[in-house]
Amino acid sequence: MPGRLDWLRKEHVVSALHLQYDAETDRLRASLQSSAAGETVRVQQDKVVLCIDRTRKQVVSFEVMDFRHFVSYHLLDELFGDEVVREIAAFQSAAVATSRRSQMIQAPAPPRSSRRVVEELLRAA
Amino acid sequence: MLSVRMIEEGANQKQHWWPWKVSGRRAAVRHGAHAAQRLRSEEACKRHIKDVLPTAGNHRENIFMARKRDPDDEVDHFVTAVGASLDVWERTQTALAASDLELRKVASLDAFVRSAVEWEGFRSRWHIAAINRDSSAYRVDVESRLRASIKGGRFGELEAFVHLALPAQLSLTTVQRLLDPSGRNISFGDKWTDRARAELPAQYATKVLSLSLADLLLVTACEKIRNAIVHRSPGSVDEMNTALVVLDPTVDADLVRTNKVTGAGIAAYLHARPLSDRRIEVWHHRLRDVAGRLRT
Repeated sequence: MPGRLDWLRKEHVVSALHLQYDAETDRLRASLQSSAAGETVRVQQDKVVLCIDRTRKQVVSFEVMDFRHFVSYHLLDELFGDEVVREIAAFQSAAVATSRRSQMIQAPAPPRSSRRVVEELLRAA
Repeated sequence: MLSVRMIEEGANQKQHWWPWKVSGRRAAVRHGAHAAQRLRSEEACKRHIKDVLPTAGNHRENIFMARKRDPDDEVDHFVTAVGASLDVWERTQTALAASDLELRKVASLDAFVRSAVEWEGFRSRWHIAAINRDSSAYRVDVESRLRASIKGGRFGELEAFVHLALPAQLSLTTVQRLLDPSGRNISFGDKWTDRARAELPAQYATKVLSLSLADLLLVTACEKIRNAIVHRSPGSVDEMNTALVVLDPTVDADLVRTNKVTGAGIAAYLHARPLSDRRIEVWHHRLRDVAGRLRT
């Protein structure tokens, strides 16, 4: 079952997502460490500004403005999945309450919705 | 005679905004002597207005200009409504004790819809009352948005010549009309803090902006669950699941979902008892507490 094994391997691909909070500007900056960016496009959706690798159709970094009051996690959930948004929300609580400035989290392979959402974002850009 | 009739129309309109103040007797039954006392003083106020208002002109507008709404009254009303909803839920659960579990779950779902709808109405009325209390920030916001819309349109060069004259104090009807001409509740979506910052005076904006992150995430999740119950679309259920997974586990450990909640499984999620209380009870308590933090 080579196809099934490929799928399993792909599901477990993990990359590191570096989160950094700037309290002065109240912005979260997040970048995927494994991404070697080619031509990138900046797309803004409300308070989230995404930097997308057009060729690989992957988000390589993003910023969240007004992070202290940020509640619109759905786009990030579609792009990165439950585990990642849960970690970002935990980081948000810590950043707001204890002024933690940076953290590295593990990002599993993006969910299936990710590619569709990226394509929609690129079309709208 | 004309004057009296129009004032009564105004009073009826007020009943729409303050549905709990239906009559002295009913208010006393529902909310005790305190509400009845407040109602009596309101009746006295209405009689006074009737005496002093001129008989010509827009009476209804004058009536609303004569009194400012206190946002704290809206908090009181919401807290009472949450208590009433929880009471109905408890009595329903007792009545259904010997019945099918599914029926008790449906009762929990109904109780959630009741409290979520009440929350939306409360948040909208509280926002309107805060603007009515002090319209200065809202007037600035309306003017800047108007100017931006002219600047970006066909007649952009005329923007410098535009002068907007709004009354110093905006009546409740005017605020409602400006916020939503159809008279619907304000739909805040995920922009509650943005709108509070832009439209409310500092005293009230601070109340919203200083809510904890856990509270803001909870309020967002409440709206998403309500949407998922009402619409049952895959998109609304996905959004609900996102909102439930990012709840603060240190504050809302009972409410954070552990597994995906399906559209058909919302009742089970609400009726579940992760610790000592059922989730539906916790939702009521948490919404009541968030509203309480908006008191000035």
